[in-house]
Amino acid sequence: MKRVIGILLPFWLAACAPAPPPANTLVIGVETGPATLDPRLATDAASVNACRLIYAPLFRRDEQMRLVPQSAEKLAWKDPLTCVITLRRGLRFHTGAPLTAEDVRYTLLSIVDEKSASPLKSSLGEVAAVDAPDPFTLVVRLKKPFAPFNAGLTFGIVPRGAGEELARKPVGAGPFRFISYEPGERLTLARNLDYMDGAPRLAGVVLKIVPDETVRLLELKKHNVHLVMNPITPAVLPWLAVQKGIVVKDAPGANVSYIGVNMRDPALKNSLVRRAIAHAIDRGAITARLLKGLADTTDTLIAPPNPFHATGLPQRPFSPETAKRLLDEAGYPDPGNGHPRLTLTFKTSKNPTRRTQAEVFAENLARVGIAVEIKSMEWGSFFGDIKSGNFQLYSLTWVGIADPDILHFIFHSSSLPPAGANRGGYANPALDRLLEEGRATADENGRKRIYDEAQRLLAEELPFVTLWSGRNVAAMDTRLKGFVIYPDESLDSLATAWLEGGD
Amino acid sequence: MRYLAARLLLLLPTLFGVVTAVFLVIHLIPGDPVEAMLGETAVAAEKDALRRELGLDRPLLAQYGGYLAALARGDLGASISTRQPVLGEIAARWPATLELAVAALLLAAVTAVPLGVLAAARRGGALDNATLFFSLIGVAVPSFWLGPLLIIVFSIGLAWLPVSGREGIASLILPAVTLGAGMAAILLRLTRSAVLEAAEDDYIRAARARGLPEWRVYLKHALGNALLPVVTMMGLQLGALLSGTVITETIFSWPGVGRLMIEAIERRDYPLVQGCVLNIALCYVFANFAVDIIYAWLDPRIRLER
Repeated sequence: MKRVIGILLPFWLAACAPAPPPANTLVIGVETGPATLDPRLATDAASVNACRLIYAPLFRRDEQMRLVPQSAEKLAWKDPLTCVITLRRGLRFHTGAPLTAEDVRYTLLSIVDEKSASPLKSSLGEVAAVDAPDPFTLVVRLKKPFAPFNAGLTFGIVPRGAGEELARKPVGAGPFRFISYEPGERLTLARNLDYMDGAPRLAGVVLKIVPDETVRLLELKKHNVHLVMNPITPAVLPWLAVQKGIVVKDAPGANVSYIGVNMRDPALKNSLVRRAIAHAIDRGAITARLLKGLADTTDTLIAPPNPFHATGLPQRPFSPETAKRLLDEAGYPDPGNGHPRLTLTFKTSKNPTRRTQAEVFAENLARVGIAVEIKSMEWGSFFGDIKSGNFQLYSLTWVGIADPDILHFIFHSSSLPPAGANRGGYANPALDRLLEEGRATADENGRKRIYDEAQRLLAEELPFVTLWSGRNVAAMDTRLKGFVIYPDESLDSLATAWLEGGD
Repeated sequence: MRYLAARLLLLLPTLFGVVTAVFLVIHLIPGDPVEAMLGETAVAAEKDALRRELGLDRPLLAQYGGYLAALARGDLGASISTRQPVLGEIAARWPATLELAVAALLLAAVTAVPLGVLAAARRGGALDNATLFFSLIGVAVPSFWLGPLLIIVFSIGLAWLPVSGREGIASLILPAVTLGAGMAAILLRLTRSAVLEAAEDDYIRAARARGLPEWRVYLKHALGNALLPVVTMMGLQLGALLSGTVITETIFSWPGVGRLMIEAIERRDYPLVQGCVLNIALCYVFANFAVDIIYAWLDPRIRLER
């Protein structure tokens, strides 16, 4: 009897399992599911990425982070306050309803509406009026010039009149249409046969929620899942590399880590001390060993491949000798007897990765005579202290840096919290002027020159020490072809990717 | 019946305490909860709106009153990240948790109680030693280790069972075993010692003297009295199981309330965290209540004392 059960049990269990997804459906293992499927309200990465599959934007960013038209055909500025956008013809929502300028107008207005809770609001500047004179033309008038406006046109277009129900029953015009969402389990999408760039080759996409990283990778090994993207712990990469049928790829990302500096601090307001800190930290060793090569050191927040990345910036190579010399110059000589020249507090969250990094920074700085006391705090208190300027040094990461206007938010003297993120209280009239000019200049080449200069100024002054930009890593089934890792982790390339032997 | 009414009445102050404690949770968070919830890109208007929505702009006592009134209507507020009612979010995850909890508890009870009785009956024998060994392992092995191990053996190696997810009865087995193993170990030891203790009593000797077969002595007479501590333990464990088992749910991608709470904490979704904490507290309160009732049913003395 036991033997019979032993033989039959696996079959019975197999019979109980539901049918596997149809062939040629790509299953992506994700850590968390989207909180909302309304593109106007999406803030977390999971929601943003899912929305990009379902909704079509006017413009999107390609793998070089350049803005390219999607639903828009062209964009022209009639004057610094008036933008005219022409839509492509024949666009349709998944319901079959045509996508017209009225829908774009509705979406835009519902984002900038006073009562809207959309996190995209500030990316569009101050909108005075939006008109749709015909189904393919949209005219937006701004209250004052706002060059980053173009970059804000990457929001997903929703059907006019769409309200709260969109969060759970999304309707867009993107490459994949919504089938079902079971929170905590999976989001199921099927290809949009009427997609403007032609129907995707994949029959569908499933975001399977597998919160545990080890299990996510085991699902990949079993080929139940075809794609797993960051975060992947660097330590498991060697194991992944030798698995049959799995390939690991990485590409530059748009998240930049930095050490924040309080410019109001008597020691840190001296630029020599900040330069000493930059020279003391061995970024090369940290990216190579701690981060296993999954990061590139950078001297500016606008890291490659961003088209606004400035080259030829002042370098701060690892050099404890230079750091010591700079501290001597700054008036912090070596007191001898192993006493520190200077003592600083470094605040960080309870995140284990951050704490490890903080310990390495402390060790690096101790070598040049700067004693560092690490204060690891619960996130709420930590972030509260950072915002209120109650810190000397801290470390955080800016996520998804795209338009260089972010520098206005971080460094302009008017961007003190809560209005902006100038937490260190940096104030430099020359930089302020550049950032205001950049905001008001529509011409791309002109903007590039302005932001090159701004980045040079920041690298010179070091109101914070830029460390590295993370690389995006993807582990995937070798049958997945045509998948491209975008700097902002977008899944846009699934519109043209395919599973070998699937179709 | 009077006993039941008395127990129910006693629940009220407990519930009141629980509800008050949960209310205080949101006010004990370091820093400004609104700042923490909205993150760095929020503008002042959004923060004010959320502060009003959460009622954080009103005096503490007024907030407490409003919270109690809303609670009485079954209104736990709306989640910040999903903008859906908290009650609905929790209710949607309940079936998965209930399924897993019942499966794990059944599995534990079905293996532990008979084995415990057998171990007691064959005290010092090979079976007793074997169960001692396995129950020690069962207690000592953490679920975050056992779970992946089971996956590697049964899903990757033998390919019998799915790796993770909640897709049919097959996917229930590994999480139920992971969760049930530790519990079975504790229940087994408890059953064994309780049966052994009962076996020393006079009524057992009387039963033997009457010439009852050994199995009847153990199953009918000893086990009946030994069940009390076992039921208490099962009740406590059910409370823990129903409030969601974070680690097991996470490992097996099981969409239960434990994971919902972790997601809520990660998103700093305080209304949802508050709802989950309330849910946990209520699970314990009601599991204990259920134990009291079962006690009275198992042991007539408890009923008579009232």
